[in-house]
Amino acid sequence: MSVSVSDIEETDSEESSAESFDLSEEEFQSQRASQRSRSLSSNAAAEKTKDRKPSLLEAEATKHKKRVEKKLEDIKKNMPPPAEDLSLSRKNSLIADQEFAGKRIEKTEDMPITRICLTGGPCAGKTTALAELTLVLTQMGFRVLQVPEAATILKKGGALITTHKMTFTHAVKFQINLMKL
Amino acid sequence: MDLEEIFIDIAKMSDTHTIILFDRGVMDGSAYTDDNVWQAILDETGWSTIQLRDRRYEAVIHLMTAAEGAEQFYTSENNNARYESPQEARDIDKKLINAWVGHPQFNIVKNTKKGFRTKIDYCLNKVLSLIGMP
Repeated sequence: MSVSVSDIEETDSEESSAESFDLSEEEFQSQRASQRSRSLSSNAAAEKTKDRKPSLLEAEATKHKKRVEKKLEDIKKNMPPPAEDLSLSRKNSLIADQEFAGKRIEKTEDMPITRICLTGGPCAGKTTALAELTLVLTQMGFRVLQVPEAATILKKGGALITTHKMTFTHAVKFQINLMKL
Repeated sequence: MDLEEIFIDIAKMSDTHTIILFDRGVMDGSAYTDDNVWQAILDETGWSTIQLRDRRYEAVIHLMTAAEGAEQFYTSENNNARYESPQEARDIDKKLINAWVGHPQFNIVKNTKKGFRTKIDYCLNKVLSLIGMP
């Protein structure tokens, strides 16, 4: 059975072919059923079985028909929708995208984060160490983020950062703001 | 701290292991302020030393000032934020160490006769062992 069905005509032909297949199956089944009942029946019950035979076959045939119909419905469901019915496929892909996005968020939450504070006295090589660490760790495949020094940001903006020259209240206020940054 | 949080939030969106390098940490403030100012900051804000020192970074690496052990290389020319004399630099260095001592993963990188490259390499190896790299 071909999978790619582009128009309704082809779908119809598929259905009919399925039905013809269904019929041959039915014939085969009924033959087998009669064979079975014949071999099972004893001489004494031969007449009784003859009477029951059509109803048994009928029941089996309807069962089989239902089974085939269900199978056909399943095939129809699995078939790609016709060109006009794009809304369904778009909807499906949207759900898939959402599921994928959800998975990605879960995945990133598991990714480790290592916070390393580089400190030290004046002229210690912090800037060089930061550059070197960033280079090597990036080459190793890590993502490296650098948080700039808060005091340098303020100094670059012209803010006085030597709290020793301020009044007590101003020094406290300034340092709190610096730490909040 | 807001800036730090922003960087942490950005790291959370990453799909690879992210290493955040902080150019100084919040405890450095205590080395650059008088003791009574620092105490007033803690009183005013309700921040605790444990919180500020131990909870914000997985590791703290302290690079010692050139004024202590590599005096000939001490210069304040490339320092765009502050100026300190060698003695002031040594004092601040000591205050910074005091500020961070107690952090569960506190490392001090000293100046050796082997030179600056060795200092940087030591720092690099320390970080690599922290993130489980050989």
